[in-house]
This record gives sequence, C-alpha cells and structure tokens, in this order.
Amino acid sequence: MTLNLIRLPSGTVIDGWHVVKELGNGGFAVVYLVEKNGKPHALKLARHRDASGDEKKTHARVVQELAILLTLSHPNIVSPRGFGYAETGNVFLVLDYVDGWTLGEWKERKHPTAHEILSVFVKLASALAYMHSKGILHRDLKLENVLIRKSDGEPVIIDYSCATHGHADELTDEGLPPGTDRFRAPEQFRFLRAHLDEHRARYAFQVADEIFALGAMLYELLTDARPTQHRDRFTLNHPIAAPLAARVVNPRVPAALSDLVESMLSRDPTRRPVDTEVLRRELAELLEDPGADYTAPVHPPSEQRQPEPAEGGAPAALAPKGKPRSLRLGQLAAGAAVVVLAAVVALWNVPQEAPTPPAEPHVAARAVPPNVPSAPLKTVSPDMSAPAPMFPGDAGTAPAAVQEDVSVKTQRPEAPKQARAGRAQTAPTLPDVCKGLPLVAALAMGCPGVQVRPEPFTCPAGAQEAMRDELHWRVDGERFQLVIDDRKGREEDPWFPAGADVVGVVPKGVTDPRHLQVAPPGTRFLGGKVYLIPEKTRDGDPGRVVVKYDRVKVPGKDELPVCFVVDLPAEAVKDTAAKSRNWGTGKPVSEWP
Amino acid sequence: MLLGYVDEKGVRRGAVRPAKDDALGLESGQGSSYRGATWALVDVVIVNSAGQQPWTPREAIFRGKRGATLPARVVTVGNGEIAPGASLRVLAVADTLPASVGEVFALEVRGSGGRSLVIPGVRFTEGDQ
Ligand SMILES: Nc1ncnc2c1ncn2[C@@H]1O[C@H](COP(=O)(O)OP(=O)(O)O)[C@@H](O)[C@H]1O
Ligand SMILES: [Mg+2]
Repeated sequence: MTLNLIRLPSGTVIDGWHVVKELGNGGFAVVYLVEKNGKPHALKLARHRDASGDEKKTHARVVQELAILLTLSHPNIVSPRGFGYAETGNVFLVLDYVDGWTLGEWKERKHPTAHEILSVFVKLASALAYMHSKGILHRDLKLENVLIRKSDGEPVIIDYSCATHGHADELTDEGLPPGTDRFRAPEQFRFLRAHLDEHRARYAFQVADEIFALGAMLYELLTDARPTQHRDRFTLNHPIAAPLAARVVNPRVPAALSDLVESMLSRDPTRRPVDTEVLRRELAELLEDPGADYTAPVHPPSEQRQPEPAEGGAPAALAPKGKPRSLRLGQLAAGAAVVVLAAVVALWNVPQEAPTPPAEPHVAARAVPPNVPSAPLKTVSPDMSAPAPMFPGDAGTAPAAVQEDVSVKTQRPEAPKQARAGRAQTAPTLPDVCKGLPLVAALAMGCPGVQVRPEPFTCPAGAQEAMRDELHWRVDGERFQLVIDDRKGREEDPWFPAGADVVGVVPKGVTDPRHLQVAPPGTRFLGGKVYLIPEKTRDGDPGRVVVKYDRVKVPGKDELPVCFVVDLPAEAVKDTAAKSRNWGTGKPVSEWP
Repeated sequence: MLLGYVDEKGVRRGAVRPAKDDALGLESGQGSSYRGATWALVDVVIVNSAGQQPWTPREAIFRGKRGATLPARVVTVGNGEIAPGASLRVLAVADTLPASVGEVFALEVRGSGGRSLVIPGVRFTEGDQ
C-alpha cells in the first residue's frame, strides 16, 4: 500500500538506494536522503502510483519534474541523477543532494548582509534567465524551494513539481496552475475573480509572475528577521495595496535595493523588470555598490533566533524544517518585542520630531526611515561553512510576542472595526491576528489592509486628457466639494478604514457657477480608495485621510478616468482607521502630492 | 472675475484646512491660500447648515498668532447669500501682505446674524498639500 511506502524507515532500500532519513514530505511526494556507494543523494518518491486514486497526479508530476530537469543544466539548478520505480510501483526521481539550508533557514542562521543576499539573488536570477530562455517556468518559487549549500554557499533551486515548459500538459484542473498563494502575483487573483465561472480557464503564466515570486522572496529576507516562522504576514499580492517598501519596514535595507524589490512586486506586471535577464543585470549592478549599508547584516542577530549549536560534520545533519517555534521562546521574547515596537514607533515619529528643515509635502506621503538603528553591527563572513555565530542571551522572537499583544488589544472598543466593512466584499480582510492591533504593531507585523499610506503618483496621460478636454476641469487649479462616502450622510463623521472602497458624490446646494457647470450635484466620483497618513499634522491633527478616486460620472456624460484627491485632517486615528468628516473638497491633480 | 486674482504669475499657493462651527451651523471645506506680489487671499467653500437662517458673509479678518491683523474683503458670486443647506465659494482678500512670511493666521469670516466662522492654521508660504 502506498501509505506504508511513504513512511520508509531508515535502512529501507529502494531500488538499490539506501534510505538514511526523510528530508521532506509534501503533498505530491516524499523526499529521502539516500545513499549509494557511500554517496548521498535526494530521492523524491511520488505518493501514488500511476493509477486511479492519484487525483493529484503525483505520478505525472514526478515524471514531468524529471523530464524538465533533464533539459536543464545550470550550477544553481538541482541536477537529476536518475529515476526508477519502487517495488510498489511508485515512480521516483534521484537528485544531487544539497547539504544545506533552505533560504529562510540560511537567513536566520547566517545573518547575511544585503551584499550576501544580493549575490544569492543574482545567481537565482541567472538560473531563471537560463530556464526562461528555454521556455521553462518554475511556478513555485519560494524560500523553501531554494537551498543554500553549506560547503560553498551556492544557492540551488529545487522542486520543479509545478514547473512547466511550453508544451507540457497542465496537471491541474483548477483555474490557476499549482503554486503557493503567498507568492502569486496579484494579477493572478484578478484573473481568478474575473473568471470565477470559467472553471477551466487557463492562466498563461508569464515571466512577470516568476519575477514577482522572486521579489516576494527577496522582500521576506530583507524585512523579516525570522522568515521560517509560521505566522500571519503582510499580503504581498493584494490586488491594490502594495506592501510597505522594504526600507520602510527595515531601515537597514539599502534604498536602491528596496526600490528594485518594490518594482519586482509592482501590482502592474508591466512595471516589473521586463525579464529575468534584465533583472539579473539590475541585481548585479547593485552588487557592485560599495555602500557601507550593504556590508551590515540586514537584521541584527539580536532580532533573530539564537542559532543552534554548530553542527558536526555529518552530511545528514540538516536542521529541522519550518516548524512553529516553541511557546517558550514566544514568552521569553516579550522584552525583545518592546524593543522592536519602540523602533517602529521611532520610525513613525522621527520625521516630525527631529529638528528637520521645513516639512515638504513629500515627506508626509512617504515614511522617511531614520538611519540604521544603533544596534552593534556585525559582519558575517560570507564563508558559509563557518559555524553560525552564537549570541548568548539575545534570543528574540518579536513577532510571537506581538501576537501576545493582540489578545490584549482585541478587547478594545469596536468602533473602528464596524466601519471597517468596506464597500461590498472588496475591502481587504484582515487575518484575525491583525484585527485590533495598534497601528504600530500592525505595521510591525505587516498585516494586510494596513497599506495605509498613499503612494506618490503621476496621473496617467489618459486621465489628464479626459479631465482637461472632456470635463474642462482646471487640473491642479480648482476644487470641487463632495460627500466622500455616499453611503454615509453629509453631516456624519464616520470612521474611514484604510483600504476601504468609497464612492463620492457632489451634494445638492452647490451654488458656484463653475462648479455647477463642470461638476454639478449628482456627479459621482468612483473607484475611491481610502488611505491614512498616521502622522500628527502641523496643526495638531492626529493624522490625515487621503481618498483617491480614479473615475468620474458627470450626469449626462460618459464615465471618464480622472485623478481626484481628497486630503483632509483626521479627528482621531485608531488602529488602521481614521475618523473624519464626510464632506469636503477635493481636487483634480496631475500628480500627488 | 473671481479667478482674476489667482492666475497671475509668481503666486504662491498653500492649503487651508477645513473648519466647522457646530453651534453656529457653519462649515468650510479644504481651501487654498495664495500670496501674490501685493495681496494675499484665501479661497474656501462655506456651507450653511440645513435648518439655519440664510447667511451672508460680509467681511473677513486675518489674525496672526503674534497679534498681527490683516483686514480683508469678502468676494463672492451672486448676492452672496447662502441658503440653509447650500454652499458658497468665498474669497477673503487682503490687500496688504503679512509682515512676516511664516506667520500663521486664523481667518475669521463675519456675516449676517452675528454668525462668523473661524478658519485656523492659514499660511501663505507653503506648498499646497
Ligand atoms: N536535492 C535535494 N537536496 C537536499 N534536500 C532536498 C533536495 N530536494 C528536496 N529536498 C528537501 O526536501 C523538501 C521537499 O522537496 P521538494 O522537491 O520541495 O518537494 P515538495 O514538492 O514536496 O515540496 C525540500 O524542501 C528540501 O528540504
Ligand atoms: Mg517544495
């Protein structure tokens, strides 16, 4: 029976391969460390035979993985060494054994510098460029599917069980190819939503998706001190809300690198690097950057878990994989969490508290991270074979402790959360753990829906043209009044949750002749998105609410694209919502701020 | 005609925050401030709440934080009366310039029935938000 087979004890022999231990156990296959003639290999065994009962097509997947790997030969792509059938009839694939860590484990153990992370990603991009040139897409790029070899620090891409080449048959009946949700590009979800009914609609994967996935991996390494930990994270692929820039989350991230990651994660696939070769070159250029910020660990070791004692030389000594950390660590960490939160608070406050030059409007729109915190920097040798350094007494697990914070804070008054239900189902939903977090903690946790800040933008040419030529608006030169959220009364002071969708409307009572002419009562501002700038204003307001509308429907005219912005002071800010009045004036803009 | 004031070259524009006086039933939206070569003005929309008497703004005064005051004219369209529940665009125009560039003013718009609206935080120097 298949079940017996997949829990092979050490000592079992599969077709001449001696099983040493299990390395991984996924939905489609089990991977064992095996030996033949004293040499270690990885053996990936399909869960099922090629027969009925193999709904997940595990057999076909392993065969396809083999077929694809056989066409590839690259130092950063795992090499196949053979295949065969176990006695039970399950197909297996033998791979070069990579003695090392997954990318996430490597990050936690080695405290790599930006430079070291970059050099890994240049190699990954070069491996991807190589396979893309052959029409092969990996389609499940994530931290667990890249191993860093201990002996030379080389990254190796593994797990081609979701991969495809131009002619491969699809192995899934779902609307989307297999893969891991967190690393899916946002346009894939948009596609799913647009084709909910077309069950068998096929999504043509594009290189842009792989670039997004690689960007998500890079983002996690740069922003998360403990990427192997299981917990809620910022949705990287929210269809509208981009994650905070890596540098905003972690001020140690060099600016140019943060910008590149941002472009890889762009909501708009056309704004990502055009292909993986271009990406490789861009990463390589950064690698040349001699800046001092590239030679410090992107997370000080104190934010990371205490490394386990250095391992002996046994090749089989792989670290245990991404299991949730123990409770004990979580409890230990309360102190560390306070430090981390304090750092985040400092991040918000510095721009206005420091004796700065007069505030530019631009400053308000983008958090300006303060300089690298003063924790002692320690450069870690790029020599991967060196034992992980020990930092006794600073086992920090900030995120776990933040979660403790959650349970306390969820007992707070519920007012803002009632308002949080945005228009229909489109408002971002927060994982439970994120609800009720104070804003700083939510940001520290990277909770979705906390994409509070509007990004500076330039209005698209089409919208500028429509405003000027069709609507006869004076862009950047006039204001129109409106009720910001047409579901609420003009006199109300509602809570505006960041990320909510609103529709604005010009109220009755307008008397200004020009206003009546070009934006009469009943004019509807569509596609409104609520943002929050949770910084005290110079007039003492606790923050600002910014609403961006992208279309307008003037009575008697067609719907037209516009860039229309309302920016008003908040009376109160709580969590990720702000209380403000529901009536105000907004302006057509060519750029913002 | 209203815009004759603000189309000149060399005008600096700033943002004016909204203000509200619940007791008097007057409210203003976000507006703009402009500083020309010899004048300064604020351009806002004022709403007279439903259920109130009609209101007509008559004159305005800028009061500096450090005691300076600038008298200002009120410029509106039509007869300048705001019916209950209606709004009106109001310009408050000072024909003298604030002495110090960075001064923060409260603009008081005085009108009929002894009702007036105070709009704090007016500056003539900084960029629009
Ligand atoms: N060639 C290899 N060398 C070392 N470990 C490997 C190798 N291939 C797989 N593994 C380990 O087994 C795990 C599962 O393998 P993978 O190919 O990703 O299968 P799955 O499709 O089940 O995710 C990997 O995360 C890795 O830890
Ligand atoms: Mg895998």
